[in-house]
Order: sequence, then structure tokens, then C-alpha cells
Amino acid sequence: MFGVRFHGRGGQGVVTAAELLAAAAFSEGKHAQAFPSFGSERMGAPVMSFCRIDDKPIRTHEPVSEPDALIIQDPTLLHQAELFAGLSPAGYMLINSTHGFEELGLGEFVGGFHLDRLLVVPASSLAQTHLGRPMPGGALLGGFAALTWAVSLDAVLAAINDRFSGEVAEGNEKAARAAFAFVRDEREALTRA
Amino acid sequence: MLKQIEGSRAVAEAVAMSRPDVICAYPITPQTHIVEALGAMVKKGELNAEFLNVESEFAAMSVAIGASAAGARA
Repeated sequence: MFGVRFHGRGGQGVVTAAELLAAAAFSEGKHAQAFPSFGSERMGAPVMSFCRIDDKPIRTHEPVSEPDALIIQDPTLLHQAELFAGLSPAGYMLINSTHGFEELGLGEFVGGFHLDRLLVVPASSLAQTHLGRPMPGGALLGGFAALTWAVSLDAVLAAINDRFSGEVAEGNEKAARAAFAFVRDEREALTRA
Repeated sequence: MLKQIEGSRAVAEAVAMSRPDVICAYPITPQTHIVEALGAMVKKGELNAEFLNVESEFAAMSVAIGASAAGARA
């Protein structure tokens, strides 16, 4: 079982990103589920969504409390309590930001993890460049594929094209490819270092 | 080929397969997506039904009873 928790703000595509990840995993023959946390969602409010991927049927429908990976869509959430709750020392984390961990005030925090499993990717900037809107979901999923290999880039791209069409699909696909390349290169640099 | 879809979408497709003549709905969380999908199917002409947006669950039930009294599947 591979559990992913997404944190972001209402309107940012937090729920859609989790659904796309589940669809991508499902298309590769995995069992997958995705669902949001329901509270008082509105534009701009902190929102969580979850995705589980497994080789066998998934019976639980609980929120993911001990994620194998975290995807943080909005870095302004970083200093809220509970954001990192349950992430194991072997876990993965992808943060959407143009800043590094030190600048984000997480320098000490990331020391407790595998350094090549926690990365920052400028997903909103990539989306702004390729899609024309700062919607980070597609880019983060591309980056996630390069970070964890829980799904392939091709499956992510297929899920994007299944869900969207026209310019939105095209822009998200380009952003996802760019984020995939970014994360792959960052990881290679970290492994060499 | 198997396909994974949202639960609400699956409900909407199941409703469509039951060939309703009348769909009366009061869309509100958590069933908004079901009604949205059905509305889109009717608008595209994929589903030949009368689509009525009503003002409460009670009104939806009233329309369903009225429609079935007239012999329609609602």
C-alpha cells in the first residue's frame, strides 16, 4: 500500500490531483482510490485529499494518516501544525515552491529524512509558463512520478489527457513533463553528491 | 477495458442506463456531481429525458410522483 496525502487550498486542484493520480495508477493495473477531506471547503481554505495505490484491493476508506508521500501544493501552508503528521522517515515529499528547504525554514526538518526523497519543484511557475495559469496539479504529478516511481510519467500524462482536453490538457502535459525532468535531474544531482 | 471513474459519475451512468423519462433534482453537496453529469448527458442529447431543476428534495419527490402518475419513469 502506498498512501499519498495532498495539501493545498480550495480551488487549486487538490482534489483533482488526487483523482488523476488514482486514475494513472489504475491505468497501470493497480488498485487505487482517491477522495478529499470534507470540511468547510471554499476558495482559499486549506484542503486535503488522499490517494491510495496498491497491488491488491483496498478495503480501507479512512483518511491517509500515515502517508508514504506528501504533496504540498501551497507553501504558505508549511508552518501549519499537522501538515507533516504521520510522514515516516522513509517517506517522500514534494513541495510546490521556487525556494529551497532552507529558505522555507525547513532546513532542520528535512535532516530527518532521505535527502533524495524530499524535493521542492516550482510547479506553479512551470504551470504558469506552459499552461498560462498557476495551477500546479499536473506539474506536481509529473514531479511525483520522477520522485517515487509509484506511477509512470506516461500514466500521468494519459490521466491528464483523459480528464482535460484542448489547451488545458496540452499545457498540463507540458508542465508535467517539465516537472518530471526537473525532479529527475535534481535527484540525479543529489545521488551524485 | 476497465475504467476507474468517480463514484458520483458511476451513479449518474447507472441512472442513465435505467432510461428515465424525467430527471428532477435539487443539486447540493454531496450529490452535485451526479446531477451535473446527468444534466450534461441530457444537454448533449445522449439521454432523452426531461431535466427539471427543482428547489428542494421535497419538490424533487413531488415531481417524481407526478411524473410517474402520468406514466413516465422519473
